Amino acid sequence: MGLIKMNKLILVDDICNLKTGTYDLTYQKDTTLNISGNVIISHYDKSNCNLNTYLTPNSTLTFTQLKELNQSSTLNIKITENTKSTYNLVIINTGENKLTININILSNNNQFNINIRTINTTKDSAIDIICNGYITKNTHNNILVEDLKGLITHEDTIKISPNIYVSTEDVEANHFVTIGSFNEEELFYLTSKGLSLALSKQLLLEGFLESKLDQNLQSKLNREVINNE
Amino acid sequence: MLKITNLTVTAQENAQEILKDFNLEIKPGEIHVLMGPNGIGKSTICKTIFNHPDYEIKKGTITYNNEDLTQLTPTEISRLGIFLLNQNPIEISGITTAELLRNVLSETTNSKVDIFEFNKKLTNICTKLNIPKEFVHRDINFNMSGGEKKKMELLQILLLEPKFIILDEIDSGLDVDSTKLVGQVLQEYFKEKEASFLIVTHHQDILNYFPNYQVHILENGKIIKSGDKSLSNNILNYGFKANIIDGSDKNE
Repeated sequence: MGLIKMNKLILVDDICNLKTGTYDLTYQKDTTLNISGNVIISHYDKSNCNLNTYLTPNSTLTFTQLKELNQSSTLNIKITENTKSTYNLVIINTGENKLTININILSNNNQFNINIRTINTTKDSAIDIICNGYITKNTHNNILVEDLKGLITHEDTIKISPNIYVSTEDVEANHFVTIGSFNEEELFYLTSKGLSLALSKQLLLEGFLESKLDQNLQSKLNREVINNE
Repeated sequence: MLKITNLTVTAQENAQEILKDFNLEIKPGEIHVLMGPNGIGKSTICKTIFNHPDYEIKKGTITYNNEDLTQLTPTEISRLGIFLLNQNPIEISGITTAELLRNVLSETTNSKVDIFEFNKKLTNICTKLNIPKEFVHRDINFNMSGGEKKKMELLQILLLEPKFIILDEIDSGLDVDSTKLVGQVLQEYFKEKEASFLIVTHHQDILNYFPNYQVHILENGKIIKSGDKSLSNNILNYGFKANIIDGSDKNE
């Protein structure tokens, strides 16, 4: 993901209409975004407000969010017709919290991908992610892919529920979920090159999270918070 | 330098015995070649030297300059100057080769790496190995062919300059031109650094670049026959079975 010139946008209203452009977004209360045209959003979220996004027909959206979760939160996504969207959510959780994502595909010819990467910051933390994808009746030619991964770093708890509710025959819907600790082969590879075990884990952890962030958000990733030590 | 004595190793997964009373000694500047059919434990030896978690040492010792490797972590073993080039180098997402090497140098020297000098060195090695420069800034071995991965591992050797190198089938996946290039680079490294090598291979091509080496045939987890470079020629001409059953070199 390359470095993109972004429009800084601080939202004060409950509803915001975003047209073609690239936005570095900030909001402090529950918000609804209406998307039209080709929109790229980069969002560093510490507020944990609920967010609704509504994709108008023929729009495309790349939504990348770095979320420091410290209370339960909901993301609602409504999709109309002929849209293409990718949601990349990197969630750094502290405490026991639930994140609910509701994806509603209401009409035809949509391609929707959601990629989630999550970790807990402490041993006592537990995150519960519920990702619901709804494909409604009498819709056609929709693609829904949920790629959800959690990395256990402190013997903490990650729960991910990928739910796909399909009420039509003409759809391609897939989900992939992986929850696990560091890959033993990757650790062996890195340490056998001379890296310490601690730094190997730290690099793998940063790579896991950064792989779904744009450069704007990579620079905001709090290295101290995600320190594996 | 490296001495393996009466080594018996089992797989962690199923407790199956892979090596049994295995013995091998490699002195400074020597090249030893392990040959044998597939699945008889050649890669196990390479990984066991590095204390790979998939294997358990039941008996025996592995020492390197009198250090007991069985008691060391892979990090500590690597920092003694030993390098393992895996048969199938894995891909690692989210870490670039340059990032890995910069961090290795930084940790081992306990100082900040001069980025300008580091990049200059990497560029020179890429040119030498005919590797696109951008490969070092790509996630480790990501979307590379088998041959490209082997060259990227060789790049690490040239940068880190180990004294003892384990090459587990470096020649598999290399085309004719790449085999020649890799052979020439290894030959030059051997001469310049006076390094020692443990080579696992099924082919003669890469061995032609080394002046002298000792060959060992493995069967049932131990070395059953050793000889000079003529033994590898015999194996390639007549196969393992003929050399093992006969017990003598065909050209003697």
